[in-house]
Amino acid sequence: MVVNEGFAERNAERLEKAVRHETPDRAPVTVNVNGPFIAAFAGVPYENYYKDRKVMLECQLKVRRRFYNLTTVWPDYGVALEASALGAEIYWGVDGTPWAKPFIKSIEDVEGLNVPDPYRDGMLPTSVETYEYMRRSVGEDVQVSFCSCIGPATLASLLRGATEFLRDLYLNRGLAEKLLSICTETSKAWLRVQAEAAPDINYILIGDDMAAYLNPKLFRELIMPRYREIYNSFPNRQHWLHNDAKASHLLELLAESGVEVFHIGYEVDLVDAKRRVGDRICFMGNLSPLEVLRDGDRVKVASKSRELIERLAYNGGFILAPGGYMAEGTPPENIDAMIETAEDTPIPSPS
Amino acid sequence: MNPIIQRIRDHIVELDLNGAGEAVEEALKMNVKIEDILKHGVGSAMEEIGLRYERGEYFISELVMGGSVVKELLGKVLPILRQTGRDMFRGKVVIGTVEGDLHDIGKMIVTSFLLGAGFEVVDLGVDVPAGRFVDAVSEGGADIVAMSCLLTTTLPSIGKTVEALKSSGLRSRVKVLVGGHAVTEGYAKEVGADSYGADGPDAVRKAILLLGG
Repeated sequence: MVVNEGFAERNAERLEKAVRHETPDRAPVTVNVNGPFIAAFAGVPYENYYKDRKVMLECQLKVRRRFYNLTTVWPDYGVALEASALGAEIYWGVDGTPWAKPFIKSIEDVEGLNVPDPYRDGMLPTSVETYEYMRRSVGEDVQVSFCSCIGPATLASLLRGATEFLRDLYLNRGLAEKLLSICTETSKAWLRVQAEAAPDINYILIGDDMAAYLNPKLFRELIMPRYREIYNSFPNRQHWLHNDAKASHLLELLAESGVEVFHIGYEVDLVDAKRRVGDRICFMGNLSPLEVLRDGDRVKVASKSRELIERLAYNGGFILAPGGYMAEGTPPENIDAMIETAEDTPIPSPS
Repeated sequence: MNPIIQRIRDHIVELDLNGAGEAVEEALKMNVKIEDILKHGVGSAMEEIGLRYERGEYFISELVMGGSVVKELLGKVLPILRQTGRDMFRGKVVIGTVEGDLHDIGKMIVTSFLLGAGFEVVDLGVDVPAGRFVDAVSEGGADIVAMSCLLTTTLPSIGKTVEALKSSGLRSRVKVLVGGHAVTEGYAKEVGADSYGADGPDAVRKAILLLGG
């Protein structure tokens, strides 16, 4: 075990260096987890995790303690938050995770849709209360993250249905754009509330897997200006993006959109990505959460981690991480192998 | 190729819903054989869309729109084919997104590629419990049960469905094809599926192979 006291602090310094595109002494590493992994790790039914903020916090702290304080705590309501505020019914699946049921049956209904009030509508006030509860409960030593939103393409798909939304882009472009604009305003309003509540966080995160389903022309015309609008509303924070779908075709456009840190999917060739936009974007990724981290063993995880570090970490701009979120059932020792490899592997000069 | 069939094909490939619809209406008025419309118009267009996707020229947005065009055209053509009593399908697929999962895109894309390739498809929608797959096979028959799953949390629903097919005595009568973001080839084997489709075009290749090529 090479991970010892002070590792989380050293790792945070390395991460900041990597984001500034400077070469750290070792590659930083992040353990990207969300509800399903956390609840399963803690042995708690998903529904209890999502519906009881005390259970949610206890589970998150359990994961944090096990993985060397590398994970954060935050009000975790999956992807359903903003959609609920816009009027979607929350669907609690058989697995117990929250999801939003599309409710815009006809694109014409967008005319009656309004930007919600984050202090009043849907589950957003619950999330604010959970943040305050967590803040009170954990003390000053633990940062409570409160700085993320669902991006416009994904939020529009949650409200309208993904297939219908993509069809709308071709068949009723004007109203589809209106829907995207309402989603963008919602994201900004929600992020403003979070930024006011948690001024100690130095980044904002847009999560927007659906954007990768668009071709470059649609992305440039419809999504890029909206990412810029969101990011430009928070000029003093780092601009992060999560999209673990296949986004290779959008890399240059994402750089132009103002993305500074990109939590990227495992299917993207990161060497190619770094060659194309590595001077502008810091990549966080991209070990396969299923085939490597969940189904592999320590040797496989270490070997894949080393390969990424050796090919990508020089000049910064790289954070070792899963290319997506840790899947439930991922063996803790495999996560250890990823962390230990980051701590153990010197960053070579490029040949 | 018959110019009207060529027009149908081109309009689909260019994702032109209205143009494709008009060309099909025109072909029907001209008494063009429905088999030709399906095989050389619709089928050939979906092949071309699949190739463009694999070459990185088309993306998911084009697959969805292409699928929508095809679905709409088949709405015009298949009822007429059924009236003739002719059965030209290469096989029947019952498809759905598994219980607990509301994602529809992957299933929709696979459905349109299967339709384009000449399969009859019964689409059960999203969040489909094991029992509904079983009922669909038992009531209407099927050669293949296809399941889509995007969430790792709902992966167990695939196994539940395979088990339900077994316990109802239907498993030996159907092949099971699985796919979706949460599914790997290894998981497909582990859970007792017959094959794994990585995307729309691959799912069609696997479906054809499952039925003996």
